[in-house]
Amino acid sequence: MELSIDSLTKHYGSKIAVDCVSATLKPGVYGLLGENGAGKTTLMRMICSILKATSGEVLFDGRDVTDMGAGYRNILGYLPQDFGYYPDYTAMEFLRYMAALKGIPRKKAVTRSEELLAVTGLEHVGGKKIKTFSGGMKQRLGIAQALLNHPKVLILDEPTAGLDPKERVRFRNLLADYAGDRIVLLSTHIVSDIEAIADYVYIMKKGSFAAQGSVAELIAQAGGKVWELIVEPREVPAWERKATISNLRHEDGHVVLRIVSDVSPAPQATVCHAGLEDLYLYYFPVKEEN
Amino acid sequence: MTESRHNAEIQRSEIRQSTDRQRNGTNSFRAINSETIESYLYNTMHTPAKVRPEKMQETIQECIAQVRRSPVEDEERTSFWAYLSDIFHFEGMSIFGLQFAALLVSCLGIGTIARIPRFLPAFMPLFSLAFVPVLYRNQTCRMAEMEAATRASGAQVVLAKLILAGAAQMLCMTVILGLVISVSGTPERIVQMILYITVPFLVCMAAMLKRIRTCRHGNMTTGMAVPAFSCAAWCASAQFFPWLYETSATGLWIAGFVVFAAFFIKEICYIVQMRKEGKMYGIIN
Repeated sequence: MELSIDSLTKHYGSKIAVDCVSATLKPGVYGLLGENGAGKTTLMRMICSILKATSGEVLFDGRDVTDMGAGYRNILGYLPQDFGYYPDYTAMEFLRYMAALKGIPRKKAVTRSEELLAVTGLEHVGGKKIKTFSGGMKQRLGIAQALLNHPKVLILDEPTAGLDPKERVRFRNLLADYAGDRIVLLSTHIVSDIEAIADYVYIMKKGSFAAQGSVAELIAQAGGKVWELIVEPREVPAWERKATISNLRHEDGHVVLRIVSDVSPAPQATVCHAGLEDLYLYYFPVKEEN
Repeated sequence: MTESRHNAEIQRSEIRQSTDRQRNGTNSFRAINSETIESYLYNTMHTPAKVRPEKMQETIQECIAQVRRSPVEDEERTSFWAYLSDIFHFEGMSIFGLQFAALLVSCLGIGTIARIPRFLPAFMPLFSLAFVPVLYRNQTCRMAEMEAATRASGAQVVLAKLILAGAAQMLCMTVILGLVISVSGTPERIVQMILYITVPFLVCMAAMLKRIRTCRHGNMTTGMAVPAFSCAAWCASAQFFPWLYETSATGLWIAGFVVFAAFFIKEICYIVQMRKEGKMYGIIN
C-alpha cells in the first residue's frame, strides 16, 4: 500500500498555497508540522480529493485518487481542522449519519458506532445531544467518525486541538494501536504530539517541505544550534529582540535562556541537547513571525 | 499350507527389494536433480540477466493494469437506494416539514388573494425557499468538508436531498393545483395552471443549483436571495404585465417551460454524473 504525492501544487489566484510538493507515504504515522498558513490544510484537502490541485496528482497504489472517486473515499478517513455538527443530533445519531454517508450497512453502523464511542470514552454520552458537549468531547467524536470505515488512509488535521493532556495521551495510544498497516497523516502545532507518535515528519514552510525525516534525524539536524546562556533579568528583553528563545527559566537570581541559533550567540553560551521544538523554532523563528 | 506360506514370504521379500530399488533410484535421481537445480540457480544468479527493455516495459504495463483492475475495498457497501432511505431517516422530517410549511403559506395566500391564477407563480418560489435551509445545512453547520470526504461525496448528498425534496414538492404542487382549480372554478385552464406552477419553480431550482455549483462564496443567505428575488419578480409581472397571463400567452409559457426544464434537467444530469464519478458538487472554501 502506497500513497504518492507527485508535484502537487495549488494556487489561489497569484498566491501559492502548496508549491510542487512530493512525498511517498507507506504504512506508518506521518506528522505534518508547520505554522498557520504554511499550506498544511490545503495539502490535506488535496490528498482527500475534496480540493482540486492546480497541478500534480495524488496516487494510491499507482491510481489517481480523483479517478478512483468513491473507491478511494471508501478507504479514507478524514478529520477536518474546522468542523461542526448538526446540533440536534446525539453522538450516536451523528455517527450513524456519518456511517450512512460512508455506505456502511445499518447493523454494522450501530455496532461500529458503539465500539468507537467506547474507544473514544464517549460511551456514557452516546444518547446526549452534541450541543451539550465540551470542545474535547466534540473533537473525540470527530476522531470517532474518521475511524468508522476502518480507513486504510487516515488524514487528521489538528486532531489534538482542544484535547486536555489526558485525552491527548489517550488519543496517541489509540493512534499507535490503530496505525499498524495503515497510512496515517496528521498535522498539529503541538510538537510533543508529533514527537511521540510520528515515524516520519514533514516540516512545511510557505507551501513546501522545508525539512523531512524521522524525529531522530530531524533532531540531529538541530544539533549544535541550541545554546544555553545565563543572563541578568534586565538583559532578557534585549535578548528576546535579537534571538530566537525557545525557553527561559529563573535560577538563583539569574535567567537561563535557551537560544536557537546557527552560531554561538555569546562567548559564554554553551551548546545543549536539541529537541524537535528547537528545530521547529529554527525553521520558524519568532522574529520572522513578528 | 507350509508351501503357500513360503511362497507368500518370497513374494513379500521380492516386493520389499523392488521398493528399495525404486527408493534408491528416486533418491539418486533426486540427488542429481537437486545438484542440477543448484548449479542452474548458481549460474543464473551469477550471470548478468539479459534484460529486453521492450519485454520489461510490457511486464511493467501489465503489472500496472493488474493493480488497477484489482478492487481496493473488500467491505460491503450500501446501494444508493439504501443510502437514500438512510438520508430519509435523518433528513426526511425537516425536508417534508419545510415543504408542508410552504404549502400551508401558499394555500392561505391562494385562499385570500382574489386574482389568484395571475398571482399563482409568485407562490411557487416558496417551495425552493423552503428547500434552502436543508440544502445549505451542511455548510451552516460546518459539516460540508467532513461529508465531502465520505463515499457519498458532495454530489450524492445534494442528489439525495433533491430526490426527497422533489417527492415532497410534487405532492404539494398537486394539492395546490387541485385547490386553485376548485377556488377559481376554471378546470378548462388546467394546462395554464400547470405552467404557472412549474415554470417559476423550474426557474428557481435551475438558478439555485447553478449557483451552488459555480458560486465560490455562496452561503445560505445568498442562496435564499434567488427564490426571494424570484418571488418579487413574479409578483411584479402579475401586477404590471397582465397580458402575460392571458390565454394568448400560453405559447410563451410553454417555451419557458421547455427552456427551464432543459436547464434543470441538465443540472440534474450533471449531479448524477458527478455522483457516478464520486466527485464533488459545489465548492469547498
